[in-house]
Amino acid sequence: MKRPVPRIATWLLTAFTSGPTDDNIAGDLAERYSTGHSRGWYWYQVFVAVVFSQVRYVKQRRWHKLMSIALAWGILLVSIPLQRVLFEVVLTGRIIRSPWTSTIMRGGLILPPPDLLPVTRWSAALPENWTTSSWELKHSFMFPSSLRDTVSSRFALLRCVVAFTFGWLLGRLHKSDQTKAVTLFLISWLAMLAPGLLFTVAQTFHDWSLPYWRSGHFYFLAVEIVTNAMWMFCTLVGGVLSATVSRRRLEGETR
Amino acid sequence: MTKRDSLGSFELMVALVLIRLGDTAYGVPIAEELEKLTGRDVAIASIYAALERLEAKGFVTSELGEPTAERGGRAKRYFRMTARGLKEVKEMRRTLVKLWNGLPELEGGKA
Repeated sequence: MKRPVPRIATWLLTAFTSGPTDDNIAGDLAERYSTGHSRGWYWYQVFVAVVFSQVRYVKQRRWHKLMSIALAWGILLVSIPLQRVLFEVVLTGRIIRSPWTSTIMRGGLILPPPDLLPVTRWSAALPENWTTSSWELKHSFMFPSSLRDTVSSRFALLRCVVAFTFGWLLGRLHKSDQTKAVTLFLISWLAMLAPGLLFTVAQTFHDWSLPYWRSGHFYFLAVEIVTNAMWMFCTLVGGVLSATVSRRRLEGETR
Repeated sequence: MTKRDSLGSFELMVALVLIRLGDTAYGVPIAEELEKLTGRDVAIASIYAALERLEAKGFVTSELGEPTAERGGRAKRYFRMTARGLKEVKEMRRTLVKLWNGLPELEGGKA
C-alpha cells in the first residue's frame, strides 16, 4: 500500500513554491518518501525546496521583486495612520486625537503599532525599575488615556485582523506567486528589525536597568519579539490564504 | 570558455550521473545514484537547482513524462546531456587529469 506523505509539509511545499520545477520536486519527494524515508527526511527536503524556490524567485526579474517589496512597504506606511484611527474607533468608539500628528511625532512610520497592551496590563506586577515602558505610556502624547485601559486581548486580536487583511491585500495585488511576494516582504521586515533587535539585546545584557530605553529589559524585548512575530504570522496567513483562493479559482476556470 | 559556462563541482557530479543513467534520468534515480556514489544525503531541490543551471548553459535538455499516481499525479521530468554538455564534461576531465598528474602528495594514499 502506498505510504501517504506528511500533509502539512506537502501543503507548505505547494503553498510556498510555484514553478513547474517545484511540481517535479513534489512528485520526486512523494515517490522517494513511499520507498521508506522518514518524516524528518521529508520535512528537511521540503524546507530546502522552499528555500531554493524563494531564492530562484528573487533571482528572476529582480527589479520586479524590488518594486513588489517597495509597494508593500508603501501600503503599510500609508496605512499606519488609518490603523490608528481604526484602533481608536474600534477600541474606544471614537477618534480621540489626530492620528496623523501622533504617528509622525513619534516617528512611528517605520515601526509597527506599539507594544502597548502587554505593558499596560502586566507592568503593575513588575518591579519599579522594569517599568520604563509603562512610564512612557503614562507620559507619552502618543496614547490617549482611554486607550491605555484597553483590554489587551482585544487589541491583540485587532492587530491580528489588520495584519491578516494586509497579507490578504498583498496577495491580491499579485497575479501569481502571491505567497512568495508576501514572504519576501516579511523577510524585508525581518531584515529591518534585525539591527534594532541586536542593538536592544546588546543593550539589555550590558545594563538591565537603563531608564531611557523602551526595551530596556528582557521582558520588554520578549514582548517586542512576540508582537512582531504575531504580526508577521498573521500577515503570512493572509497571504497564503489569498494565494490558495486564487489557485482554486484558477483551477476551477481551467476545468 | 567563460566562467559562466564552466561546470561547478556539484554540476559536474550531476552531469556524470546523467551520463551514467542515460534515458532514465529524472530526480529520483539521480538522487539515489548520487547518494550511492558519494555516500552523502542529497537534497532533491539542490539537484534541480544544478540541473536548471546546466540547462541554462545548454548542457542539458529536459522533457516531461506522464503523471503517475505514486507521485500524487505529478509528472516526471527527464533530463539528458546535450552534445555540448558531453563536450564540456570531456574538456573538464582533461583539465582535471592534467592538474592531478605529477602531484606526489595525492598519490599512494599519502595526504
